[in-house]
Amino acid sequence: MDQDERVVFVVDDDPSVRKSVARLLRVAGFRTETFVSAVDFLERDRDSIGGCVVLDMHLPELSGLDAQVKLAESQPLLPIVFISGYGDVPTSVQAMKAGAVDFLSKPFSAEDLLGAVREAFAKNARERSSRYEMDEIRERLAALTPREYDVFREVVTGQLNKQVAATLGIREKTVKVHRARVMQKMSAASLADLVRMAERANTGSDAPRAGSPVSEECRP
Amino acid sequence: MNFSTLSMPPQADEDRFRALMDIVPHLVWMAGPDKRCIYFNHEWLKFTGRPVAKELGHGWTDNIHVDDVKRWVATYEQAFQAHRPFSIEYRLRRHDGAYRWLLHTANPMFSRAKDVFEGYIGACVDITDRKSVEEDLREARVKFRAESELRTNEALLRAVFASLYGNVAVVDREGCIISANGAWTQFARYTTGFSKEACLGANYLDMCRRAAAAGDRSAAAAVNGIESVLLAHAPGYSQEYSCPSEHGPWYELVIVPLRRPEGGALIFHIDVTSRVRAEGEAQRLRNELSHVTRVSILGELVASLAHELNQPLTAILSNTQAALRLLGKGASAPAELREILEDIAMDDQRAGEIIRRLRQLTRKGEFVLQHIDVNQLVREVYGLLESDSLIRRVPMECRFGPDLPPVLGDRIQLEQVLLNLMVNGLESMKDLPQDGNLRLVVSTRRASEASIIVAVKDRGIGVTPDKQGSIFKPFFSTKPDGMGMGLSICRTIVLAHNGRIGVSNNPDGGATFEVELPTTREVSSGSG
Repeated sequence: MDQDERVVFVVDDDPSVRKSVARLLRVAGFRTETFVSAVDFLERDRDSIGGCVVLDMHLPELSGLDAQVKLAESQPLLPIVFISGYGDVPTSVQAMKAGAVDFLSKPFSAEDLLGAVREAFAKNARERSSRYEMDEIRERLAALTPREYDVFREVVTGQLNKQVAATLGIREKTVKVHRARVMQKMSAASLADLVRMAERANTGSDAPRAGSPVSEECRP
Repeated sequence: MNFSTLSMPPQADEDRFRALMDIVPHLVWMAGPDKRCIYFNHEWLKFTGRPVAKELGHGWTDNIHVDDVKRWVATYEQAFQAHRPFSIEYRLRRHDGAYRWLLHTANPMFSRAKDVFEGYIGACVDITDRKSVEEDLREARVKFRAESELRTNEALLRAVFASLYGNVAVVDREGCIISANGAWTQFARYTTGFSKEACLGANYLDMCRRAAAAGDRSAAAAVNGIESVLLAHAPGYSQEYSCPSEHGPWYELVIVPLRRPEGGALIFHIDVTSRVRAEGEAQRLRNELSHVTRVSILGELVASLAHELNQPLTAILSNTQAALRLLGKGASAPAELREILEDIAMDDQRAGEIIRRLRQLTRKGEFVLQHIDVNQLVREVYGLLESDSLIRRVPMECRFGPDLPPVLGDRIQLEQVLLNLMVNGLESMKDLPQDGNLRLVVSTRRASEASIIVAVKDRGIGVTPDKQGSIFKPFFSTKPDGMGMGLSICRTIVLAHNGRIGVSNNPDGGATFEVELPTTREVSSGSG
């Protein structure tokens, strides 16, 4: 993701706050887009664009906390920096527990705001790349034949070729061939690498929660 | 006349009797047992001026006054039947035609053996003169009594007038003082600087006219009042004024028409200083209390007011830091810097406006009457509570009635009433689940030709019937930390504006508080 394409979405019902915060971010080198309400913001599909949201806590119609819940469903990778003119402790705790990057009390310094936005961008980048990596692994997994996938599943549990052959009811030599193809298709440098990939594929947000390290549902 | 047949005394006795009878000054008569008269003495005949033949038998009764006949006959008949003495006063015509009052006494006569009734003998005295003296005397007595009563009454009236509470004068149709009590005279000396201007004989109306011409507004009002009563246009008039200064003492001027054909009026100046001072003191205490409760509501609103203030402060700080960064980069962007500075100035003004509103509400003010646009009032309070509505997550909505005439009232106190009702409404809904219907609706409308209603409708739990009676009483509160003065103060303020306040539950949940305020007739273009 190119740094230039990332956007800070500023959502605040107060026109002065909206305008000045966007201006400060722009001067600091960020691209910005502004919204009067959380409803307006949620109505647009922004999943493809990276960045973060600077979200006012006290908005008419849909409050900041409610918007946070909806964003977690529709745009889980978009980090939130809350800003609030009235920072009560329970609200800020709830916001942070739900994954907000920061909770800034108005009026806030430029350093605090820019720091929080940078951190949000970093988080966004991390999550995006991890999501990218996961997508890659899944793509590679999809390229495996059913038999290769069977071998992959057994190998990452730490079984020897002989044991795998016994479990699957095939010859050890055949296991060796499949294993070599798996290592190649998955671009795995070592068995440890393959095990890590199996774990990654299983920890994504849309990965199955229980069962074996790599379940059938992992397959596209 | 033959006495022998009546077994009268022998002849010598009869002669002597006749001689005697003719010299007595009384009118003497005799009647037989058959009631018929058989004898009249000389005096009688001289009195009636008629021959004895006409008098004998029942002839004499021709001369009895027609009004007395019946009574005489009744008395006579009764006495004859019972053979008892009798006496009667009646009128008999004299020879000159004049009726004279006679006192007539008579005794029955019996034979020597005292067992045979022989008739009656009677004598009459002319009591006309005596009677008229008695009559005069009685009249004199009545007159005397009436006169003395009149004198007593006059003295009483004079004493009552002198003791009347207040300073009282009587003026004629032209306004000249024709009478005044002692208090008035002293009062006039005091208020007119020891001149005799407002005393007996002076024209009070002219005096007021002169004071009015010199710029005394209460005197001008008094002139109108006195004239309207003197011309019988008004059944009475009253006004309060202070003299010599606005600090008192205070008087009530009362003018009452004098009920007599010549017209005129009674003028009272009654010292009401203590009442006016007490009212002023009560008003001061009310102001004090309403100030305290106003400040306490603002205390509840501290969080939302901080929010309100933090918005422009945030914008100012962000703009300043953006400008500093622009300058730091060495970038030459005068247009952008100018825009930033303009935005900063605007937000600074906005913050100042919030502070101004706050100070206005926390100010300790006198009760100042002015024309108020109620819709504008609602907008002001709505503006104060926008943040509160956001924080409590209860939306507000205003529905403004069209073409509302202004009301006459104290802006701050009316804002306080609205603020109180709206904060209560928001408070009642803050913990309720959000749905499309959860909102506070403030509406204004015309109630009648002469009043408007401001209604604050919530969707809270409403007011239970047992609390509806006590909700406006002091120290009533449903909040654990409430002082319980809010609604009580609202009621006091609304009553002081000649309005009314009430609460009812909505059919679809929650309660509606309604404040009805009288409008001014004057059509004002706005608040003034």
